[in-house]
Amino acid sequence: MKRRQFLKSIGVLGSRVTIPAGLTFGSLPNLAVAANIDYTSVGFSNAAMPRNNANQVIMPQVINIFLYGGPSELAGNLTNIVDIEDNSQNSYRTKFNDDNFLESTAAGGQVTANGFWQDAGGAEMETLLSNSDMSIYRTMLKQKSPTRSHRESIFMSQKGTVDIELTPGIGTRLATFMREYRSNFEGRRLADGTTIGTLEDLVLPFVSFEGETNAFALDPNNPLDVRLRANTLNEAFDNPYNRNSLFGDATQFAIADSAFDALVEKTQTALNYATRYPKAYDGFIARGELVDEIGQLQTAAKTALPTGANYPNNTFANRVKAAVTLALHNPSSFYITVGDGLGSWDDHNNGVERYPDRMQNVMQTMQAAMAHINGFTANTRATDNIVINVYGDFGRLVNLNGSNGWDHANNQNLYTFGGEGLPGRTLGQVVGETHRVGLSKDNNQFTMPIGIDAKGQGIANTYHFEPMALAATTYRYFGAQNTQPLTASPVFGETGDDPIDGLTT
Amino acid sequence: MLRLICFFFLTTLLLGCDPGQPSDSVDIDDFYPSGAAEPLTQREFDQLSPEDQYMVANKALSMMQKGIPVDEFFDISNGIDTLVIRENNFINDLRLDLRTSMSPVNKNAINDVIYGVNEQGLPDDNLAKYYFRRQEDEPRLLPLAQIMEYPVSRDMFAVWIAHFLANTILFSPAYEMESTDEVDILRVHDYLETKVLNGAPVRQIVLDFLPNISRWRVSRSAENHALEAYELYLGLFDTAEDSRKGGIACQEYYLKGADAGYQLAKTPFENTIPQTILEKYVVTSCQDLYTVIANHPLLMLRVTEVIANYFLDGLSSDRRLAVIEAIVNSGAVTFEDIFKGLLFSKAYLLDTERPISYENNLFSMLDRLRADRLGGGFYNENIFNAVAGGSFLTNRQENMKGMGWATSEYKIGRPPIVPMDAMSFANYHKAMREQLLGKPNVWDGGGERWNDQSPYQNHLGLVYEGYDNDDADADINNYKIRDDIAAMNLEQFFDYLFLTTLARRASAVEVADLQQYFIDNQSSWVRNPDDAGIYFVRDTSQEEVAEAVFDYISRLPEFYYQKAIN
Repeated sequence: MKRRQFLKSIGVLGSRVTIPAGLTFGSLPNLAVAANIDYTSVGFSNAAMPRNNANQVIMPQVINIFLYGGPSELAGNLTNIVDIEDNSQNSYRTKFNDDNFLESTAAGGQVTANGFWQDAGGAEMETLLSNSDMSIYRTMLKQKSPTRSHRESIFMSQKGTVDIELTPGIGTRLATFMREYRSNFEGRRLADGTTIGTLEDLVLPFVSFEGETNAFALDPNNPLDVRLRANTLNEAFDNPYNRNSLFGDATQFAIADSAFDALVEKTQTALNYATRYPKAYDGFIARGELVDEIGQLQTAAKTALPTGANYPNNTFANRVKAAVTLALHNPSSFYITVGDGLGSWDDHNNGVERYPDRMQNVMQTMQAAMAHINGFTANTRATDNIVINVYGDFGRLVNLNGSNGWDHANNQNLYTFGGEGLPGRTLGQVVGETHRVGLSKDNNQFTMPIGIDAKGQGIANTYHFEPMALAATTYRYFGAQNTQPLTASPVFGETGDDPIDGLTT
Repeated sequence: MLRLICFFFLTTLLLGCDPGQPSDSVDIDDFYPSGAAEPLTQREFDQLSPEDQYMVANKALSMMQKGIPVDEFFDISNGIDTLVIRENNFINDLRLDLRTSMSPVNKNAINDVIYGVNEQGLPDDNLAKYYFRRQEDEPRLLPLAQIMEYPVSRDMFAVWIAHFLANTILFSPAYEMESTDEVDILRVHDYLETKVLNGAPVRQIVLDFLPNISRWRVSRSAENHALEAYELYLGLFDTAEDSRKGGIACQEYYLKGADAGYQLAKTPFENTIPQTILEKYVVTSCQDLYTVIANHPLLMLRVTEVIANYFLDGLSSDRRLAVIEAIVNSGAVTFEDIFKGLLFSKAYLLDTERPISYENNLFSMLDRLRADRLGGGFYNENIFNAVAGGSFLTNRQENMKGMGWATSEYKIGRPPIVPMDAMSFANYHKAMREQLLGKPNVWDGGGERWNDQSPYQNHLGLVYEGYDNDDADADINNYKIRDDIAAMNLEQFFDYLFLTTLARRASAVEVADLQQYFIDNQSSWVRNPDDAGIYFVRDTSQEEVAEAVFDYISRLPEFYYQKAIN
């Protein structure tokens, strides 16, 4: 059921003028509480997990880069540009001041051999593709809930379900899955050959480089030990976790520190802090754990980078670099999220001026990241267990609007990098074909998988998938045999999703 | 009519109860919702324990970035063992204060202090109490200064409401976006403050804001302008077709590019074809769309919901929804109605337990600690830069930005649930511990300042009676311990510090362990005059003892929460 149908079915929309007592839009979060996730029906298999040179199963690592605002798909998909130009309210050739815009790069235009936008990271994408460092999927489409809302789209992508209210994020589902199947993980090798002791003793297993994120939203029905929840770091590996002396010398402070912490232990038991003030309570536990870890990461961040790992100088690149550094130096960081840094991708206006350079920055960063990963040799650790996914809220309309931008749409690209050591994962692929739909000279023109019309009807004759399939793919890397229970949406009566073809077994 | 009678009755009663209230006039009616949003009455407040009354009083005030010190709420001249409430009409007085306007003379005088004005009436940075340092910071820092400096009054309430709303998705000027700038912050804040002071209905405020360039600079295209209007003001998130039609109704408007300063422009091509939106409303022009949004039955619920989510985090969804509906069904018309409905509700004051933001905690604590706002550390003339994370002190993370709750920054406003991820919380803890509680000059009342014009001369501090730079022996002993503090034994002093920061006394275990810590490790700070086991703070060591106790308190999760009674 689509969200709008859901609203209508409970009487929120429709022809009512007055709001029925006890039922308003504000009540939706209450109604949309998902049923408990049935982890027992997921099952575990290591068949999709990566292996090291000794053919031993090791843990995968996933870096999820979310481009907030929803970037246009055109950087990775100019295959429909001639049709788009013919029907757009504003001309691409005119607005980009390039008469050859629609031509191939060989003819001096912008369209690369694989249909990328040359100056919007297309040149870099061609290199990444030919090096088998990247695959691109051009048909990630929301059909179960084809919303164009930022909020709903972000939540859906980061929680891996259509049930977005008061439900856990992908990272939390993954952590809970690991906890439920702990015997399959404890004793398992990490990429550097060391083994996992107890899950709760892992160092930084889940990390956000974007502050609080829905990817780690907690499950109100299934509390998770604080040590399996996400910690937040920033790109500089700043360390606000230490405590400086307020009075006295180091010796006096050490005594006070110890005495006060011992008293805190007594008080928090007596006053039930863990239950009454859980967020600050957890924050203090995280502080205690991170205070020493950060120093090691700061040292790691100073390690010389391999040849080719030339990250651009901007916040986005710094964050990706930090995430890759963390993944390489700390193989127990399993799921890492990165967001923001190049400004919002919500290019309703001024896209003409801003979009190509920023997409080029993204792809230059990804080139550097792959060089960083592929050139890393320390500890003889495996590096082909690291997957990086790049995507956003949604795709955008392809009509250039009156403000020289693109409004919200649905179909978007998934750019996925690395992880060639994962069984069934094939890189160097361009998957999915699209066509332009919508009325000529109308703003509401967008791309859809071939075979599906503007209303979402029809049978696609090209591969396409829901954003939830990306979540399913991640779960599969970590051994989830049946990913459907992890991605189902019982409130909306939707079954779950299987992993994306060509990215896993 | 009944409401009018109640108003006159209450006004007379309240004025009669507290003839000493500051000036000037009572402007508007008050708002008393029923049902799930039922307000806490004075009588119910009086039935709470003294500690709980103090906690509730500060819970109400801290939401507005204010606080009340222990010795202002209680009469501690005869000690602290039995708490004697000095203020016996807190709830009613607070309501009255929030209805009472400042005189223009008072208001101007305060703003003169904030800005610094010389004898010719011209701005003079050298005389300014606070520095905003960079012109672009001023619009988002000035409201913080006004909230701090204005007394609790309708004017302060209006500034705070505007500040609050400008940090929600409803009215955020979205400073993070390339298409916005500091003028949008100024424009939005000024618009909201003025409208609130004028008593404009919520519907009118939304209607008049939709065509505002600062709204367009966030939405940026005709279709998205419609889409965001549905989302922001009606809470409708699946409106692809309605947005397309709304975009047609607004098709003549567009936002110019960066080179043209992101100005809102208009073509002659107005729509002439009626469009049906939200299944029943027919619109042709952009103004039609605005009218539909502003008059839509979901508007008041949505707006109240957005605001309530900040107040009532921690309550169940059912409770929250019931409060929202009760406020709307009780006839809320203005933002003052909504905010008062929430602020005085039992649901908030008695039942909500949630993290308190750094902004609310810090500013309230400055009042409760009797702080010298210019005392040192972070908290000096640059206090608002330091707290908000302005363009000055950018290498610091211990500010609202570093805690994921930046001011007027985010397109979607501040998240209603205070971010408490590991890094945000670490920055929060560090700021409160090392820049406030660990800086006695800020709160002890004994800090010597270079500026002999300081408004904090002779300002009663937490420990000292204040300082006097005109004192002939200014460099030696120009301050002394307060008499009421000097009379306290160690346990009573602990209680004083705990009440100030946590609104509770120290537990028996805390008293025992802290006392033992001082005896064992800081014996020069305490004394045991009669060997009877009752310890006192050695003269002039109150500051050190307080600092150590505050180090302990800063480690308690409850220090970062607004607490519930029920």
